[in-house]
Amino acid sequence: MSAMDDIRQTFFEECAEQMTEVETGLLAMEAGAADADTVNAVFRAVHSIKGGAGAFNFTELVAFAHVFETTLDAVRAGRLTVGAEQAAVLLRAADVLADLVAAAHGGAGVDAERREASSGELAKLLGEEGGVADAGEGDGMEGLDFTPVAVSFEDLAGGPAGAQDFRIVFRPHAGLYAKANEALRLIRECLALGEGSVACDTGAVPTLDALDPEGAYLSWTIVLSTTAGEAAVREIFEFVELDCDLTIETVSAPSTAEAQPGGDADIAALLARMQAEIAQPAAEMDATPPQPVPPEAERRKTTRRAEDGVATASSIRVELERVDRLIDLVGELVIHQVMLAQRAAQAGLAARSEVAVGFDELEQLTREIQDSVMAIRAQPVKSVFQKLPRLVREVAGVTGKSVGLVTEGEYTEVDKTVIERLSDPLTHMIRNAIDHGIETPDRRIAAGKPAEGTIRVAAMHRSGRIVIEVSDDGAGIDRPVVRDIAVGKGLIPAGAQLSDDETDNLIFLPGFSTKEAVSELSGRGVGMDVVKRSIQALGGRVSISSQPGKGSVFTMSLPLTLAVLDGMVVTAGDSALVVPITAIVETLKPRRGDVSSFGRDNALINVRDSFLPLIDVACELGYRATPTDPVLGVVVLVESDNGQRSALLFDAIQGQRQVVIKSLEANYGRVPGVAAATIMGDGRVALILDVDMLTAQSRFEQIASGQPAFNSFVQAAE
Amino acid sequence: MKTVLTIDDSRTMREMLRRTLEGAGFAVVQAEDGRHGVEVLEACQPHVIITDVNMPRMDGLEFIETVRGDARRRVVPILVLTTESDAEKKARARAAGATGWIVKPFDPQKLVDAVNRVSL
Amino acid sequence: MSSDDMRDATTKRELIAFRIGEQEFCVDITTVREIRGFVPATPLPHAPAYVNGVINLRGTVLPVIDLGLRMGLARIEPTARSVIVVAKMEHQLFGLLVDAVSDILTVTDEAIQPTPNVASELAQSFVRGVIALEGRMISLIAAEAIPPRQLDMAA
Repeated sequence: MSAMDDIRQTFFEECAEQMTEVETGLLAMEAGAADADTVNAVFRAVHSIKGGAGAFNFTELVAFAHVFETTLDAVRAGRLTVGAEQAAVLLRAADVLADLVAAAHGGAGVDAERREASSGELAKLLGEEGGVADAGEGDGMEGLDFTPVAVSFEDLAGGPAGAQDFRIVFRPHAGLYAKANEALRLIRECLALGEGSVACDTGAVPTLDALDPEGAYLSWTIVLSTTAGEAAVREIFEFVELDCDLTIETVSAPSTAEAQPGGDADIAALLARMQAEIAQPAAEMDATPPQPVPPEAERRKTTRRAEDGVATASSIRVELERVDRLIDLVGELVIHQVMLAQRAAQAGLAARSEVAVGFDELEQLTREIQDSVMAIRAQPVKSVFQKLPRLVREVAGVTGKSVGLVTEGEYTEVDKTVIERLSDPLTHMIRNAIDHGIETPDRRIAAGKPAEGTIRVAAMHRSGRIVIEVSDDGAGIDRPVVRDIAVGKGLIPAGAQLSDDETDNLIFLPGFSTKEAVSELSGRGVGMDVVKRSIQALGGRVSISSQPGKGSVFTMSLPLTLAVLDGMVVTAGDSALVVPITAIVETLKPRRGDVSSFGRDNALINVRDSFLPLIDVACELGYRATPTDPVLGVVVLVESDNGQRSALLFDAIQGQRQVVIKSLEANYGRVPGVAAATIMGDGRVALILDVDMLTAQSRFEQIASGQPAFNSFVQAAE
Repeated sequence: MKTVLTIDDSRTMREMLRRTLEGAGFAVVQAEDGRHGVEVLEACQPHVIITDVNMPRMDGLEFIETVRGDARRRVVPILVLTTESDAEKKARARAAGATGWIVKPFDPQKLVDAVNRVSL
Repeated sequence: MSSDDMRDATTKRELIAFRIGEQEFCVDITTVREIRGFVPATPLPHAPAYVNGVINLRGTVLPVIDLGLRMGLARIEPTARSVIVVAKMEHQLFGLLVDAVSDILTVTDEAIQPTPNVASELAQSFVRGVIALEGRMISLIAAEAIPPRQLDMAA
C-alpha cells in the first residue's frame, strides 16, 4: 500500500499547487484581469482535483469539485460572466474546496452547511444564466460513480451462470482502422472469452486496382460460447461500436462444435492472412521487427530523448529524511575538517606550509558543500504566502473591513523547518493588523484614506536572516492608550519614560491586550506576547513600529535554518557553552562597584542604572560549587522572551561561531537550562544554553529557596 | 516490452498511470500536455498512447488530431482519459480519432485490459 | 531467571566481559554497538551523579554512564585502559564507562547460574545471573536495566 500512499502524498501536494492556481486565477477574474488561459487554468485545476479525488474515493470532495467545475465550465464557455459578485461566490467555493482537500488529508471536517451554501450559490449562478445545467444534470453524480463506464448494466445485473452462445457479426468501417483499432485484436479478444470459431467474409474485397489500401472490406462472423455474458462481449466492441456494423445475438442451442466455414483448424491460418492484409497499410509504424536505423537518425533520436529527459527532470523529489542525513554528514565533515586543521596547527605546521594551505582550501570547499546542502532544504516562502489571501478575506469579512493584500518576495527562500513554523506567527500578525490596525471603511474615508485598507507582507533576506514585514495603512498604534493600559495592568511604572518605539513594543508584553473585549478574532486566546514567544523559540525577533494615522509595521526576523545557529562560545568552569546570538544584548566586563549582593546568595549588577539579576552560570549548572568573583569574569547581557533582561556571568568569551544543532533528547532527555548540544572544533560536545529557561529558573529559585535545584538532585543520587 | 506514452497534466494521475502500467509490465513514457506529447513522439514510438483531455497548451483532442494527421504515427492506438462519461464527450474524442477511452477514476485492471485490447 | 532465559538451555550466546574495580561483568554482545576508548565527557547539568556526561560519537551526542556508580560500586577513575561500551536499547544509544574490557565469552544458557542472594540490592536489580569461568565469577548484566529512568526524569 505504500505505493498508493506515495501517490496520495503526490495528490495532496498537487492539490496545494492547484488551489494556488485556482485562487490566483479567481483573484485575477475578480479584478477583471483574467484572460481565457486563466479561466481554463482554473477550470483544469478544479478538474484535476476532482479526477485525483475520485481515485481516492473522496466522495465529498469529488461531488463539490464537480459542482464547482460545472460552474467554471460555464465561465469558460462564455455562458457565465464573472463580475464582483460571481467572483465572490467562486472564491468562497475555492475556500470550501480547500477545506475539503484539507479534510480529505485528515484535517478537520468541513461544515456541511457552508459546503451546501456554496454549492447552492454555484448552482444559482448557473441557474441565473439559464440552460447551463446540462453539463451537470445528466451525470451530476458521475464523479461518484466509481464503476468505469465500460461496465454496462447487463454486467451489473449479474452474469449468467452457464455458458451462452453468441453469434457476432462484425463489419468494420474504414474509420475503425483510422482510429488505430484493429479487427484482428477484437476478434482475438472475443475468442479469449471462451470457445468459438470465426469465419471471414471476403466477398466485399474489390479487385486490386479498385482497392483502397485503407478501406475496410472484410467482415467476420464469430460464433462464441462463453460464460462471460453479453456485456463482456459488448465491452470488447465498446470503442468501435460506431465504426462498424455489429450484431450480437444469443444462439439458443449450444453449438460450439458446429464448425462454421473455415473451422477451428483454420483460424490460425486465417488470422495470419488477415494480419498480412491489415498490417499492410500500417506497416510503416506498427513496430514490427525493429529495422536497422541509420546511425545518424539514431543519434538524433537519442539526443532528443536526452533533451526530453532534461525537460521533465528539472526538479526531483527527495525524501526529507535523506536530505537530513546528508546535512548530518556534512555537519560531521565540517567538524572533522576543523578538528584536523586544529591538530595540524597544534603540531606546529607553518601557516604557509602546503598542508596548511590545503586545509584552507578544504575548509572553503566544506563550507560550500554545507551551504549547498542547506540550500536543498530551502523553499520559497510562497507556500506560506499562498494561504494569506484567504486569511485576509476571512478576517476582513468578520470585522466588516475592506482589505486588500499585497505580497512581495514570495520566492525568498528559507529552510523547510522554518517555513513550517512561520505560518502561525504570520497569521496572528495579520489578524492583529486587520483587527486592530485597519480602520472601518467609513472611518478611513473620514480620515481621507481609500475605503479599502492594504496589508502588505514582504519577505527578504537581510544579513543572513529572513526578514518578514507585515505592514498596514491603518491608524497606527494609539500610544497614550497603550501606555495607559500598560500602566493600568502594572506592566510599567506610572512614571516610566518610554520612547515611542518602546511604547509600541509594549503590546508584546504578556497580559497586554489593547481591546477590552476580546474580539472574535483575537479570541483564539492568542496575544502578541505569544506571537513573540513563538518567534523567539525559532531564534527570531519581532518588533513593531508605528506612525499615528499612517499605519504600523511588524518586522520579524528569523534564522534561515534551524539546523545551525549563530552562537557565542563562552566558558564556564571547564566547559564550553554556546549562547544563541539572538538572545544577546551586549557583553560587558563588570567593575567592582557594579555588583551588589541581594538577599541571601543572589547578586545584582548595575547596568547603566538598572539593576539586573546576575547569574553565575557555572554555579547554576553545577559546574562549580561557589560563585566566582564577578570582576574576574565576563557578563553577557541577555533578553528572554518576555523582554526581561538578565546578566549571565561566564569565565571567558571564546568568540562567535556558527554551530550545528544536535539533539540531546534523542539519547538522553531534556535538560533544564539547555536547549540542545553541538560539537565543537575539538570534537567535544558543548551545550547550547536555553537562556529563557536558565534565567526564569534562576529567578524562581532565588525566590523559592536560594538553593539551586541540581544540588539537591546530585546529593540525593550520591 | 510494450511502451505506453501517458499524457496528463496532473502529477497524481501520471503517477497512478505509471504505477499501474509498470506493474502490468509496460514501459511508461510520460508527457505533461499535448504539445509535450507531440515532442516526445519525435523521440519514441509507443505502442499505445493514453491522454487526458483537459490540458494546457494543447488539449487531448488537438493532440489526437495532430497524431492522426501525421502519416508516421497515425496508427498508434490512443486511449482518452476522461472523467466525463457522457456520450457527447466520447463522441468528440471519437471524432478526433481516439481509439477508445478510459473513465477516471479508473480501475487498474480495466485500464490494463483497455491497453491490452488496443495493443495486443 | 525469566522464562525467556529458560527457554533453551543449550542456546549459545556471546557476551562481552569487562571489569569494574575487582569485579567482572558481562553483557549480551547483541546489545553492544562498539567499544571505544575513554574520552572526557561534557558534564550535564542536573544529571544524576552516575551520568558522566555526553561525548561525540561521530556526530551523535552520546550520554555516558559510569557503570560503577550506576550499580552502587565505586566511581570509575578513568585510566588509559578505561573504555566506553556503546550499547543500544531500542532507539536509545548510550555509553557505559568501565575499567577495561576483559573477554568475549561464548556460553550456553545452562552455564548461567541464578544470581546468588548475597549481592547488594542495587547490583541485584541489574544482574541477571552469574557465570563461573576458570575460577572467575562473571555477573551477567541486563543492559536494558541500565539506562536509568532518571534520564527522562531529568526533564
